[in-house]
Amino acid sequence: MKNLKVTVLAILSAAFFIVSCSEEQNPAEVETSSIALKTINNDGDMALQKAFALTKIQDINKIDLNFLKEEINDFTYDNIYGYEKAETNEKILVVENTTTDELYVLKGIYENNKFTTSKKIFGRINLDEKGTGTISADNVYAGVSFDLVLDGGYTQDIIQVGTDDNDDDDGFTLCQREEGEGTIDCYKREADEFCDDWISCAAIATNTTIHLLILAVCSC
Amino acid sequence: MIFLNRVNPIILLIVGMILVLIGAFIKITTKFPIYYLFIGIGILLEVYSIIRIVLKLNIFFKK
Repeated sequence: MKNLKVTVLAILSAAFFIVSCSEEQNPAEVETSSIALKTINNDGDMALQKAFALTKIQDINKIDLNFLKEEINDFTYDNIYGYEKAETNEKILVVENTTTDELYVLKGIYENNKFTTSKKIFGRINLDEKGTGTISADNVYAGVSFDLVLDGGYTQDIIQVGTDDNDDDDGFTLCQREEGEGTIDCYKREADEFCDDWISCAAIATNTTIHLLILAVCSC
Repeated sequence: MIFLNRVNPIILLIVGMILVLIGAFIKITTKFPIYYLFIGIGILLEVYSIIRIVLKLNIFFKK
């Protein structure tokens, strides 16, 4: 069971870097994510420490968890554990319901007894006893969902990582701000998403009006 | 190009900016790939008009 938890966390953590388009993303991190996925089954915590410099939080109670009421609303959970990055004060919390096999992974900064969430993933584990099945994940803020397909148990490599950008299917959407997302966070995400090909990058770098446009669609 | 030469470069610059803005709006709201056309033509117009403005200023200062 512990192996499963660590595997899920590692996959979702890797997905943060692989799927999300942010300034954190660079080839080196994608590479370390792959390393984590390959070595995760040998020694989970060790692999996380090696690939992401994440160490397990020994006493989760030292974190003020009151913010969870707002973050995950009526989601009932029976287990919480987390990892932290010592240099950046960054923490990743896993809030799970072991009965329904659903979990939230929250990434953020913990300062002055306050957890500021920067990324939130909702995951649903659908694996049989042999470890065959899927892990579905929704990046709540970015509106990105993807399925991770595992075949033949936890010791096997992931055979498929599919990405599905929901925004493509929605048609015309004027307001880009997600529910519960701040205007500035929306602006950062949209500006980041906008620069996904060279022509758009050139446009956003040379036209300040695009920044104003993004701010406008994030304000409603 | 002959047609563009007759148009005031400031107007070309404004038209280019408007085209880029329309392209950006299409990209943000629908992601329909026609935005490439708007942004591409807009940027080219901007570059062209800036070159003409620089050349004009250059001639102006030489006088």
